[in-house]
Amino acid sequence: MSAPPVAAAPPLPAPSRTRFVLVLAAVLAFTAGLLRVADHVPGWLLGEPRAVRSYDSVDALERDVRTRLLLPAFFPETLEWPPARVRLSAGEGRPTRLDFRDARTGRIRVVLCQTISHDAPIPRRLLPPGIVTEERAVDLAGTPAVLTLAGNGDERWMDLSWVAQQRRVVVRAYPDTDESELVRLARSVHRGRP
Amino acid sequence: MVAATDLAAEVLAHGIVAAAAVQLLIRRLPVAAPALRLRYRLLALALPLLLAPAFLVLAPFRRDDWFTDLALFDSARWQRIEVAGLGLRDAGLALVAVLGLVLLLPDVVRLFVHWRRDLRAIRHHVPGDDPAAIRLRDEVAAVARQMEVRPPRLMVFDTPAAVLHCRGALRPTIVAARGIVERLEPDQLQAAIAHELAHMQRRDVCHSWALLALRAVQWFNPVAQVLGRRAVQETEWEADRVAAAVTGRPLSIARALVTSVRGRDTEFLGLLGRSRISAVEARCRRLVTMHRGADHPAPPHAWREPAVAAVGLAVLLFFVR
Repeated sequence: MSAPPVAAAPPLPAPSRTRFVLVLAAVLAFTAGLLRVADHVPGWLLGEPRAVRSYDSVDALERDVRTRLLLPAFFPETLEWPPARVRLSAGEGRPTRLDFRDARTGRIRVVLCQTISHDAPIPRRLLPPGIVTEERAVDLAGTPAVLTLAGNGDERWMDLSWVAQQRRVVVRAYPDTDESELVRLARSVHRGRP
Repeated sequence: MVAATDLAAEVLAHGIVAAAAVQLLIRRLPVAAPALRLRYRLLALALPLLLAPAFLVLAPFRRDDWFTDLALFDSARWQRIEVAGLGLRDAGLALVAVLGLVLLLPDVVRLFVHWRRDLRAIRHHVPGDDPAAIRLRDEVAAVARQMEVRPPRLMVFDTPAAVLHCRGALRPTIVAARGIVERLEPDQLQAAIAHELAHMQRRDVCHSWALLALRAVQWFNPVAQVLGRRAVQETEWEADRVAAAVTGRPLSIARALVTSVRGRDTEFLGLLGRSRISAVEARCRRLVTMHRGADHPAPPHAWREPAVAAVGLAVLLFFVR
């Protein structure tokens, strides 16, 4: 038996423009929130920040990463202690950066970067690269290191890079630091306080 | 240089986000018209394919470190978690790629089997003066007149199976089996023909090939495969809606559907068969609801809202790597 024909019902009213915009905004905001949470999960699992995190002191960073940083035992009086900025970045090897100011000028003169879990390159956002003008090998009391003279625009610097205790360490010195002072500082780097 | 896995991971992430956002939008607005839902689903299928390469060319700075901090989601972070020496992102990508293939291949195989069967049937079709062919031709002409479309080419082949569908992207053809004439009541046959003519009117054969192409390009994306299937379902629902509006008998379409499924039971085997049967059940439920008076044609200017949603999604996906 066939069903009797039925007349088509009038269409449902379409959602108003305001409702559409509100729902779209809510959906996009909710999705963005979920994505942000999902993006934090690897950091939580690996125990590292999502981006670059700043700390008040070296102690605070060491407490957070549960290890001692390599710090120079020789610390010239022309540099300020404690470091002006202490940062931990996301990335392989959990890279850190300490910025030291010149005691007279107040400008950043030395930067000490190191990874804390294993030897991995320091990410560009923590230690921006420049155009290398000279590169040579340097001996740090038996540890081979590479000294690089580089720059970017008017800015010039020296990078001394080596691997110690399975960590990549890079000391960047801006003008007003001579090479012998930089090498002396690098040789004195150990786990402890200056 | 961006690795292929990075691009695939981005397309996959975009696909998942677009599909989830579109599904939320469809439920929350809500979008009842199958034709409009189809547009939203096509949007979620096409956006990842368009946006990921476009961002790669037009916004190369998205690969820089500073953008990683700004991004809402960066799949590269998951790569740093290792499982058996393999980054979690790449391991997950391999796993979902297998799943994507598992979802795509049965549909490709089924399409190929149907295409070969149709070719065979076209070679061995019944003569034009066969009573079944005459009846079908008359019915098709009558329903086409009612729908104000040109009657398509009709091929009738000699088998007791209940087969009726349209094919041919360039030259629309209705392929029918003698069994459909013998099994369906007159009102059911009219409704089934109206359904096929609705497909033809809406150029659904072209759309289904485009859908398959979109799915094939995203073979590694199971979300695209599921979206593709949902899109096919929406085209069927829309053809049902048009046929119900033309004949005024939604229940006749439901009965024709059940009869034709029973008449092709050899195709409904295994998990795939079960999923297709549940799709038929869903169509029947919708047709029963339609019989009670609910009809959801697409509103005029139905591209406007999906276009605005596409812009919103594109902005969101810009921050997803």
